[in-house]
Amino acid sequence: MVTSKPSIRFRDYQLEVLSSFINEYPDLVPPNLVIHGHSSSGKTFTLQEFFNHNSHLINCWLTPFELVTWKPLLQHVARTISMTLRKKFPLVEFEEQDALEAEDFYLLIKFLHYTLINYQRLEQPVNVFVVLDGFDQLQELDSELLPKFIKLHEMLPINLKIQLKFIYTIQDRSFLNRYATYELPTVIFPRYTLQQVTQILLDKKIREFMESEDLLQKVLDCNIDPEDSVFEQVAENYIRLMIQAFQSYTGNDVVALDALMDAKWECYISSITIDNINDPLALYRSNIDIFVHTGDTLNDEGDEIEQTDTLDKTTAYELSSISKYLLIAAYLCSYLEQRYDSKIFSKKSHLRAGRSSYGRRHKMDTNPRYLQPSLFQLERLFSIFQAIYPAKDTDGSASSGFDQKQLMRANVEVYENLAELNSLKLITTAIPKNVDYLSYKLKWKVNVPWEIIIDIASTVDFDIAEYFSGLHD
Amino acid sequence: MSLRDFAEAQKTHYTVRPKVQKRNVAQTSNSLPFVKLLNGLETVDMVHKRWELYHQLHSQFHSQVEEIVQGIERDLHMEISRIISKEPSKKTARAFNCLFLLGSDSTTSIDLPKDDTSNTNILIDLTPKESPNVRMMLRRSMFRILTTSEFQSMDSSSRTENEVDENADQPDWEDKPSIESLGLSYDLSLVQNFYLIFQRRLKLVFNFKDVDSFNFQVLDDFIVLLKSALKYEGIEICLVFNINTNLSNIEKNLRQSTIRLLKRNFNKIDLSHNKGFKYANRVFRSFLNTVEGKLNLSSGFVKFILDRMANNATHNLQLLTKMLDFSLMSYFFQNPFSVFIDPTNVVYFSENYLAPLVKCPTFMNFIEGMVREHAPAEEILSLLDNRHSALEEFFTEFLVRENPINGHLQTVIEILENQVDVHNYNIIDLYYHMLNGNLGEFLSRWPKCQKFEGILKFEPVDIIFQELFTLDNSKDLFSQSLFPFLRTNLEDNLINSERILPQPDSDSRQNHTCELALGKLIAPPICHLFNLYREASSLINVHDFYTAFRESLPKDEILKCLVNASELGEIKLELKQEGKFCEFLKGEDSDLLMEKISLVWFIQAISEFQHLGFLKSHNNKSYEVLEKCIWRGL
Repeated sequence: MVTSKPSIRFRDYQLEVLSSFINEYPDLVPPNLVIHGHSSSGKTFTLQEFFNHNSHLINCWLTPFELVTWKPLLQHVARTISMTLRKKFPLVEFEEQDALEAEDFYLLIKFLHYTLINYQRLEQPVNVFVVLDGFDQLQELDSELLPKFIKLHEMLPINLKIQLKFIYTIQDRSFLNRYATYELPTVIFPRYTLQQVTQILLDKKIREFMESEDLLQKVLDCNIDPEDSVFEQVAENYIRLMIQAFQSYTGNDVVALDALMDAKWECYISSITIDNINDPLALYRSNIDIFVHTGDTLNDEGDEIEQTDTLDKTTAYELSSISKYLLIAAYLCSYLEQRYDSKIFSKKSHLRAGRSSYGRRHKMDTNPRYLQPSLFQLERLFSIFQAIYPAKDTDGSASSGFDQKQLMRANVEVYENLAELNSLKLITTAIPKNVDYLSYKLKWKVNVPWEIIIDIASTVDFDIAEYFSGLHD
Repeated sequence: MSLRDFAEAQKTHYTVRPKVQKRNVAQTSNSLPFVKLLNGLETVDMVHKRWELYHQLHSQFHSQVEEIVQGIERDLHMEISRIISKEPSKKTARAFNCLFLLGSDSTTSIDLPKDDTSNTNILIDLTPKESPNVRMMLRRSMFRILTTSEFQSMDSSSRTENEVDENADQPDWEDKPSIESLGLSYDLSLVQNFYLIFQRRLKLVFNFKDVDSFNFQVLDDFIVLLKSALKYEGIEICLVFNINTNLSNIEKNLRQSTIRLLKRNFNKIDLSHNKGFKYANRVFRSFLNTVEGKLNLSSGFVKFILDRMANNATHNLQLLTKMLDFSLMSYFFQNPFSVFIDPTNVVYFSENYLAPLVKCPTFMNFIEGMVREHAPAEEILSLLDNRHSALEEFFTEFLVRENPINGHLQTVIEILENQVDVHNYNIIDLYYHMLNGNLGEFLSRWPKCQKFEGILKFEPVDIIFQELFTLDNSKDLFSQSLFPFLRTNLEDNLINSERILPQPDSDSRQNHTCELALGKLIAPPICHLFNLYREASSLINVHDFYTAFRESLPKDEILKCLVNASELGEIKLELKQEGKFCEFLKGEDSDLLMEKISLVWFIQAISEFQHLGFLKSHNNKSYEVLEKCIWRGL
């Protein structure tokens, strides 16, 4: 019987090669066949179609990716082969062996040997094709594995009636190159070109899109009853536009483009109206957004707008403004030297005068931000906090007694926020365990990097960078 | 030593709960916490009524709050199970049902839909520790499936029959492979054959705990692996991600194709219920409803609430409840007119209430207006003097009036939610703007509101006598009692110790005349030292400090007091010490004794100061100098 070829677009040559390698005569088929090609170049599909078309060829499929490691792979090879044979030749009776015993390679050989020997009474020798689909996708792949499979046929008796023929599909070129010396027959599936991708997607998707419920619903809602050709036109335009827009992003990856199209179809459809259904350009214009972004984000765009809306009132980072100032103060405590405090934070001029109070201020060799945070006492944190917290204006309408005094004063809220920062591990104590929070000797440090503190400071309009300017070279 | 003793010994600090003797509260005939108001002219009956009314409103409000709080949890669980049990539509049939729980601490329990004969639901928890690589994750989850489903199949009789009757099992072996024939391999083949083995549809719910600590490469691979399980018949997979950072972090770490995969059927729930205003709004509205629109909130009070809520990010709801609670309590405590919130009580109106009534600013305005409009003098005077109980009637008339603001609030809310479709707004803020008459400014955030400008327009109205029914706080009462200034209060009390300490009375139970006399003589040593502390500069020499302290004590009086006490036998010491003590007292060395006593007091006070955070030792080595902690005024 001659193998027949299915018709698959742009893969005629590969099919021809396959059909010459794969047939029912054991002597004519090499024990190993490699199919190489990058992802979404049609390897699996072509092979499946080929075997579907030639159902007289015994074949079984394994996907190493799902099996994660080589041990289950070996067990599954054993099991799949024995089950396929059982199905194919139910008349042959023998005692079933446990496929799980094939835990190592020699055990697999033992298992196969024992199993295949039972089929010796068959009249004709038969080929059994074992397809390992995506061999290099195995999670814990080692370089020994493929040679073992390649040499498997040498370990089994030659005169078996059942001849195992392995077909590997492999994506990674470099993986394959390691085994170049084995001179495996290799069928190469080249990448599709843009035209080919377009053609494939058009073939595959137009019908699907044309018949999608969303489109029908939308058209019904708009009270229009266009002909089929209009539907087709809309779908085709959409597919072409998507390919043009995202081909530079995905490359000629049919699967990725397919997924993108599925994701955006609904959005595209929703803007169809009576006016633009016959006008591709208008439809494109009303949907310009979906062609600009991939939309692979879990955040809704709408969310962000809402957030910025209420940013001033509520809290970005989920911290209250007191917490933020406390955190900034803690950062300043950790990264500025204590002896400069009076100069930097005091509003009284007599404290600032002269360098007698703090000595010469020379530039530091390293930016303190690169160093570990230094420890400080809570007292210092509070005084810096008081200095930087914006003083509230006492309103003219002082009738209500809720107005704050000029400077921030610590009420319970400050301590609450401090405790919260501590439990969020943004400010930590020097000792990690068994902290006695009441001890007056306890020292603290900040646990936040520069990037975050500058972000937090910007939400309260506090220029923290200014405090660090001129400190170092 | 037992283990417990050992553990006890390792503690850095202990909690001591002193046994406080219950103070004998003056046992008056009624043990109400309320006192008579109106300069004590209020009748006992009315105090009772006031108390009852307060109690009723308070419990009503609290039952509602409780309901709301319970509702939060309930809503959440319902929402989660709704998403999980969602039937796959045609479009999402080959996609994961994804649920992102934001702000989750991974303790949220996930309720599975009920199993029945055709459906099996299995929950698989995966923690980062259990998931070092894809192999382990897969093994764990398959093991979980197997243990659950085998357990279930034990129950079903059909399964046992199969096992008993092995011959019957044999023929249909082909289409019904048992687990044994497939072997116990912990990989996807189990999922693949699940439908064949158990004849049930399988819904897997993967609960990824603490997703942020996962190795994202592994997680990504695992998701891709699960994807291939989706193509089998009767399999549904639900992925629940517990996230405590944010979505963009997750997004950054996963592959784009995976994100695309997850996004197909994507839900998220924010677990932190303090985000958004939904629940706080409900609490606030329930408070407004509690007092049936009679009670008004002054704008200062609402501003106060808003400010405090902004300062507290985590316990918003509790804070709001606490503030509203306290305001209600203080209102009933101090306002004699609060009884009239229940209009039936108006029959108890007596002339004692007249004087404060006449002084009401709104009433005075009203009278002024009458004067300006040349109303008959007779009428005005009768109102002022309550002739023929004119004022009383006038008051009663206004009692039944409702403040239009509450009704209007309802209208605004309805328009916002139903017409404009805005749900994330702050009712307290809205109320504040309404009180100040600039509702338009608040609503300008949503341009759609302009359509309803006519309906939404609102001008606050002054109702006569409204200040009697307004929750306000003119004396900083709330900010002081709810958010006290710790340090300031502490300092104030140290300066004026007699403000908080009970006056040393002669009628105290123990007859310690010595203690009594000392108490009358000097303030507690710590207060004494604090006065000196205030005078000192920021660095204090310990010896100087001590000397000053000793000299400032009234030496002779203290000695006299001690002599008295020892004669009365009130000082209980051990025999040997007592001899020495007497020696000191009687001999010439009274100075020495005084020095010792003051030194004890001084050391005690200093260490207390250190723990209060007033003082710190300058450095660890030398104890010569103490440094003041001068974060004054905070």
